[in-house]
Amino acid sequence: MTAVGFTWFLQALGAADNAVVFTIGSLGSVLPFAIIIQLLVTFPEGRLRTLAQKLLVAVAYFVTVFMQLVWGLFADPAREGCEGCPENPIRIHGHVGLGEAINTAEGLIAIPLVAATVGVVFRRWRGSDAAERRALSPVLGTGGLAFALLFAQLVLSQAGAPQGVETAAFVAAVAAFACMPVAFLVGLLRSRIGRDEEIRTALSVENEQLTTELRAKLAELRASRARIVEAGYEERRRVERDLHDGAQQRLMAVAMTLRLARGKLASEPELSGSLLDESIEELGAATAELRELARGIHPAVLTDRGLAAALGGLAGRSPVPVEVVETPAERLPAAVESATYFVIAEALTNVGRYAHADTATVRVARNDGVVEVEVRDDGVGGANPAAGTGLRGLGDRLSALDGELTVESPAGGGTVVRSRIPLGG
Amino acid sequence: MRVVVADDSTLLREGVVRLLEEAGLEVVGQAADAEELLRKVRAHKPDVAVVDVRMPPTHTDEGLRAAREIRAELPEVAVLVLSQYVEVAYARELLAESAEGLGYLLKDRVADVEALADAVRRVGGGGSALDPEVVSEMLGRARRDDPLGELTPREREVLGLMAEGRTNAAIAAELVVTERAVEKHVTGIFAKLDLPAGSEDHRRVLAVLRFLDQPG
Repeated sequence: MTAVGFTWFLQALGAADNAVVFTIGSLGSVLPFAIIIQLLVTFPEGRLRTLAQKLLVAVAYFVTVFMQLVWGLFADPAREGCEGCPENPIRIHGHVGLGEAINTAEGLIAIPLVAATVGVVFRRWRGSDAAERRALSPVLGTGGLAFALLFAQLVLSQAGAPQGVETAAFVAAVAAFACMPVAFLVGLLRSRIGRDEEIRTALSVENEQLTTELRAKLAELRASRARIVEAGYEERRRVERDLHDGAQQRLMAVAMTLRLARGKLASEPELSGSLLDESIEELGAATAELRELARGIHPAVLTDRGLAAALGGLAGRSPVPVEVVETPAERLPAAVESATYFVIAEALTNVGRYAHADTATVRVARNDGVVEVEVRDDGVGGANPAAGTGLRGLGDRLSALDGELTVESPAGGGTVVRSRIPLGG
Repeated sequence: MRVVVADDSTLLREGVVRLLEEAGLEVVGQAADAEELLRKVRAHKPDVAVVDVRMPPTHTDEGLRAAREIRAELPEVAVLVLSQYVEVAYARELLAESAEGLGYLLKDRVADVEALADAVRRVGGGGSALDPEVVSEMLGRARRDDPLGELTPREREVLGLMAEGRTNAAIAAELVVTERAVEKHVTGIFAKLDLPAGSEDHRRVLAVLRFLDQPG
C-alpha cells in the first residue's frame, strides 16, 4: 500500500522540468497499477495461490516495468507533441514511431490485463465464504470498480472516443483508486474481527471437546469411587466373617469348656484338668487368629519400619519360598507404601493358593518418580485377574493413586503381576 | 532373679507379674510407658526387663527403642521384648550387636507360664530367646547368597532351635534324636560357620547372630 502511495507520486514527477526527475516520473507512472493488482489479488494474506493469479501479476509487472523501460529508451517527448518537456536522458535512439508503437502495445496489453484483473477479483469474491467476504468485499469492490473504469477508459481511448468522455472515465477510475486505501483499511479491520470470531468458534469447539472428555473422566471417577467404597464394605464384611467364624466361635467354645471344667472340678478332677488344657489350646488358636487378622488389616511393621522390613516378614510367612530382590532404600509416601505392600501381599497369597510354584521373586523399584512393583512366579500360569475380586479391588485402590495394575499369566508360563504408582508432586 | 515389667495394658502387665511371681521370680518394678521403664530400670538395676513393644505415646515401637537404650546404657541388664507381632526386621535390629542376654518373643507366649519363665531365666543368664515364628520366617526365605547354604537341612533345623534358645537336651527331645547326635550337629554348624574358638555358650550366641545376619 505504501509502495502504491510512493509510486503514485511518480506520476506527478512527470510534470517536472528537470530531465532526470521527469524521466523517472514518466517511467514509473504506470507502476502503481501493477502493485495495486498484486495487492488486490493477494489481499489479505499477501500470497499468490493459483497459476492464474501468478500469471496476472507477472504480466502486470512485465508491462509496467519492462515495457515502460523499453519505451523510455526510444521516447522523445519533445517530438511527441509535448512542448516544454525536458530531454529524455536515457534515450538511445530517438524514434517517434517505435516509441509510439510500444505505447500502443502497452495500451493494447493493458486492456485484457485490466479485464483479467476484474475477472480474477470477481472470481476471488465468488470463491470466498461469508467470513472471508466480510474482509474482501470492500477491497475487491473498490478495486474491481476502479479497474472496470480503467478498462472503460482504455477501451474508449483505443476506440477514439471524444476526449471529454474518456477523461470522465479516467477521473472516475482515479477517484475509485483513491478510495482503495480506505477500502484496504476497512477490509483489514473486518478481517481482524472475522478472525476473532473464528478463534471464538475454534475455542468453543475445543471447549466442547474438553467438556466431553471431562464428563467421561468424571463418570469413570464416579464408577471407580463407587467400587472403592464397595471394596471397603466388602473388606468389612470379610473381617466380620473372619471374626465371627474364627475367634468368636473359639472364645465361645472356650467359655463352654471352662464351665464344663468348673462343674467337673470336684467330681472328676482329671477330666476337668484335660478340659482346661483344651481351653488353653483353643485360646492360643484364637489369639493367633486375631493376630493374623489384625496384621492383615494393617501390618504395624510397615508403618514403623517401611516396605523392606514388612516384605521380609511377608516373604518369610509365604508357603512358597520368596526372594525379595530389590526394595527402595528410602521410605515411600504412606499411601503408596501401603498400596504397594497390599499388591505384593495379594499377589503372594495367589501364588501360594493357585500357582503351584517352586519360587517367587519380588522387586520394588523407584524410577523417575514412579514406583514399579513386580511379583513373578514359576508356577502354572493361566491366572485371570477379572475372575478374582482381590486383584480387581487392588486395581481400584491403585487407580485412586493414578496407578495401574497388569497381570501377565500365559498357561504354563508362570505369572507376573506388575503395578506402577506415580509418586506425584 | 529380679525383674521389671513394662506394659501399658494393666490387665496384661498384672497377668505377667502374677505368672512370673508364681514361677518364683521377683518383680521389683512395673511401668506403663517407656519413660517410666527407663526410670525403674535405672533405679532397680534388675537382672531382666520384660518390655512390651507398643507403648504410649505413639503406640508404635517405644518398647524397642527403650530396650536398645537399656542395652546401651546398662549392658548388664538383660532384656526380653514381647510383641503383638514378631518381625524379623525387629529381631535383627535388637540383636544387631549381640544376642547375649536378649530375647524377642511373641506376646502370646505369656499364656505359657513355663515358656515365659524359662525365657526370662535364659536371657537373665546371658543366653538368648528368639520366638519360633522369627526362626521359621528366617528359614522360610529364599535367598541367592545364603551364608547358611553349606548347612544340611538337619543342621539348619538345629541352628533354628538354638536360636530359639533351646539347650542341646531340649533340641534332642524336639527332634527325637540322642543328645550326642545334637552335639555332633552343633559342632558341624560351628565348623561350617567358621566361628572363633571360645566357650560353648558364646559360640551358640555367635551362631544365632550369624543366622540373623542374613540379607533379606
